[in-house]
Amino acid sequence: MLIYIIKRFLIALPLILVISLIAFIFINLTPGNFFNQMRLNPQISEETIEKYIELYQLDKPVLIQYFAWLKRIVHLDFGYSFAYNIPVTRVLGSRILNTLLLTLCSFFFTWLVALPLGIIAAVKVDRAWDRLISFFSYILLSIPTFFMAFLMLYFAYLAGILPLGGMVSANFTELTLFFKILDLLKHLIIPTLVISLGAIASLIRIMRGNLLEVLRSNYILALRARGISEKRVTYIHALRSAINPLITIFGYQISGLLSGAALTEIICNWPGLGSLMLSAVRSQDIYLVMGSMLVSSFMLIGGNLIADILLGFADPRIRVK
Amino acid sequence: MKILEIKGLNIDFKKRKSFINVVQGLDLDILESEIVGIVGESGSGKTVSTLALADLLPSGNSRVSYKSYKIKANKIDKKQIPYFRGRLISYIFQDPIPSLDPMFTIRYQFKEILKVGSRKEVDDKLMGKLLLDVGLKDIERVLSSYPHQLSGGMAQRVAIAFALGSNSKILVADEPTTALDAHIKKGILELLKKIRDEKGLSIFFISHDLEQTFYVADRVYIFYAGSIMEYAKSSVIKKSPLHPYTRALLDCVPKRGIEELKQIGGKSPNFGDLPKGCLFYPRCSFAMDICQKKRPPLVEVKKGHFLRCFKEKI
Amino acid sequence: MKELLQHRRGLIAVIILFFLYLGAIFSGFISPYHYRSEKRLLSYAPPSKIHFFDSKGGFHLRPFLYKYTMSLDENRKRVYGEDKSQVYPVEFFTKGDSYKLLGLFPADIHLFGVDSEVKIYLFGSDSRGRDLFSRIIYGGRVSLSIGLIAVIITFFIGLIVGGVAGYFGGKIDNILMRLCEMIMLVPGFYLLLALRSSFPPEIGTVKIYFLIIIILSFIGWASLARVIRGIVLGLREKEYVLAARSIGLSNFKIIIKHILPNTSSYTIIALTLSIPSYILGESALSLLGLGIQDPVPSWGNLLKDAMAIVQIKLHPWILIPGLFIFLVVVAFNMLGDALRDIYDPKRKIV
Repeated sequence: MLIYIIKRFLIALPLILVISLIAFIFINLTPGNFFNQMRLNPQISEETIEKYIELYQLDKPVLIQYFAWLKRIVHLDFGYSFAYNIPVTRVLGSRILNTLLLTLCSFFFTWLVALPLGIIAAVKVDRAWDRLISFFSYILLSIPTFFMAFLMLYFAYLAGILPLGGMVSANFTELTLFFKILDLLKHLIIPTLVISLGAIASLIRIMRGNLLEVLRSNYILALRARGISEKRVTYIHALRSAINPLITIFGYQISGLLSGAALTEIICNWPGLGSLMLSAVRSQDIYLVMGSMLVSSFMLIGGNLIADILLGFADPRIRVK
Repeated sequence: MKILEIKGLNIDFKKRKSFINVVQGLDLDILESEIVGIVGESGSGKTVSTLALADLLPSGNSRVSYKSYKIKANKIDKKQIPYFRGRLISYIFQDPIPSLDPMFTIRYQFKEILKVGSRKEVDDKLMGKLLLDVGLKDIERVLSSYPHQLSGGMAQRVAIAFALGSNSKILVADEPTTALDAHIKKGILELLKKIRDEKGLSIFFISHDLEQTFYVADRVYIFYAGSIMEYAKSSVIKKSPLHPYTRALLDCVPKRGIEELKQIGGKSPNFGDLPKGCLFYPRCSFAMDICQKKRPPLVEVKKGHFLRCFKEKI
Repeated sequence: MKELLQHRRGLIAVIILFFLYLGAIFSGFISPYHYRSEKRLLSYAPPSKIHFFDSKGGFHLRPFLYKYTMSLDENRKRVYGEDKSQVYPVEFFTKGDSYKLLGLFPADIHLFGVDSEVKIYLFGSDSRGRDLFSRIIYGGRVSLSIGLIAVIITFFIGLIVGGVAGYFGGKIDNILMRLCEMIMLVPGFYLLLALRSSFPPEIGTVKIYFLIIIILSFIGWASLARVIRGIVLGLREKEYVLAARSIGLSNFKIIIKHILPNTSSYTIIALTLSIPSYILGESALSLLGLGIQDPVPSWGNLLKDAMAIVQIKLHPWILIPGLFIFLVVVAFNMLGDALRDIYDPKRKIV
């Protein structure tokens, strides 16, 4: 079991390295682009630019730059953000937490809502509840995230009860702890809903599909034949097996959530990794772009790893060889 | 003493929007401490008929009805049938490992079943005894295993132990040895015979393998296209089969010294498209005119030997 | 194809897509105005009201419009009304802005239009007084085509990579699959932006069009390749492949003749279901200003105005392009589902 975990981990590392290499090459395909922008900025003297070029060896061939960058990464120095004028790690820091918060909230909300609904849809297959749930899932699945975000913000604007974006209100620092948390929660609602609704829809379909499939298995018939009650068969046996494949898709879920979160962050003004990525790209801030991309990959890999480990625990066929 | 008797069993399956008749007017019975073999090709209705005995066919897709259903000469109402499951009738299936829930240990599943029979004390001792009865030795290991850790033969024995544990009087063994290796098959067959003798169980032994069936069964039913073509004592069918289909089946069994492998020409019929007369007519080498027009009834041609064929002597 | 039309969802999907693509192909004809045609005076005008009854209660067979009146209220916000003094009928097959039919033939006949004194804004107008309806129709050209072209490119790459990996197995399979996993390890959005950032923010429309296609294909082929590889792996052991091998057919021929055709149903379904994500990818990029730029419309960049929530309250019609994106996504999803049902061996025809 432990070996299994270590193996998964070891596979991930070289992957990260290679992605970063590819990304680095891509980003540097058009040379000197960033500095064109900087040169236009009167506040930054030519000397400062020269210094940067020297410091980060930006005039050397790409591969050398890459290894230099890599060496710094290992020391957790992600380079310098030219746009923000501070080390990339400092810029990333708080943003990562914010995105993590949003993503985790969405994740839990998604599973909390989707699983029961998927189960209901499967158990009452082809009857009223199933048709209703399936229909809404279908629609929700197809709504683009940004459109959903616009709609929600619009309705929130009309209703006037929820804050429209941002992570905290202006008077945040003056609030007591309790109200601080409340404020945060209020701001979380819309972005979380926007991200989750699509994911919920797809998870419902998968859960329903899995459960229906399991209910057709041989051992379910055998269990019924042995006189086990329908309730037990469905909720203890069938459900148990139906959940496993879901754990497998954790990884894809997390990828989807991170992507969805990014766009939602931008529209809802949530100060996270996604909105950071956008501004980094807009200002062609290479190291920031790279850093954000890497961190998002790390989050994905981390999520996948957790999923793999959980699957190892959940499925005895893996756990006990 | 007949422990189960069903008459006029009808099973329809839903295909697209309408129902197709699969089993029509079937009569089946079994005595205490008897092994009844049910032989037929795939799709002949053998599995489906026995599943119907405990109402295990999916209710949305199937319609089951019968004229009379008696357990030990007591008439049974349709509503009572689900209670039979795990109490009166048990099943073992062709592929033993997929018939067990892969997520739970044998111990867990065993306990679960024993509780159905509402035993008060379900402990390892009881389970251990049952496992010994079916010929398993390493009790602790078996109980703690997950299904995928067992071999096919072991899993099938466990399944039989489950059946014994539930105190059922009837066991439906649906092709229990088909998925097992050759040298394991015999052990299972012996086990079935043993529990018939020692526990007085009645066993429906479903198979498409004639040899094995003759080896274990006391009586044999020959199924074709959802109908019984012939049934009699095992030895009788083996020595003097009367139905052309039965004869053809026997001919197909590879025998030593005979080089040619025989086949029955033609295809098994489509359930939506059954012939008007005798169901076997299209493939029968002894067909007569009347066979095409009328369906022969099941008739007791000799004592204990029933035949559904117009030709009495071949 | 026939079965598709018999399938309820398939039919709906085909109808929706038919009209959307028809609109895109004949965009010049169907839209009353060219996408560039502005009228700053009528900035953010609400959708035109089509009347059949005039202010005196008279019925006109032809629908007609009134001219917009624009005034400023106490907050210096624009208020639009109707000048009921004159009736302007909607004319069909009328002359209007010139355009090139199918991109080749100069023409100036439009499906419908109105006297040049008045503007017909079916879906309202944007900040520069450009007709949103026209811009949406023209926008379809970009939004609907990018996805298709990118998907075709992805198809070829994914097919080759997946086919080779699945068939040859071993080291080649390993390397190729690792490659796919690496690409799939970066969450879509981040990869999209990162790739985009390797090019300057402002480049010509044509260049950006192809750039987006390349980027989308680059992101997409990996998952398709994996799916195909899985299928090929399964097919490789089938009897007819072994038979082909035993008669000495070359590997290449086996892949082309036996294996790839059998992947076709899965592939088509996978492709159809991935088109929505390509369309959404382009829309997101354009929405964020990194994709197709103004004045060329794409459904994504038409939504840019909506980024400031205030605008939605004042001019809710700017969300309509979003509806179109939703519609095309639903249509492709339905199409994919219908295809899946048709090709499913266990299918119970409804």
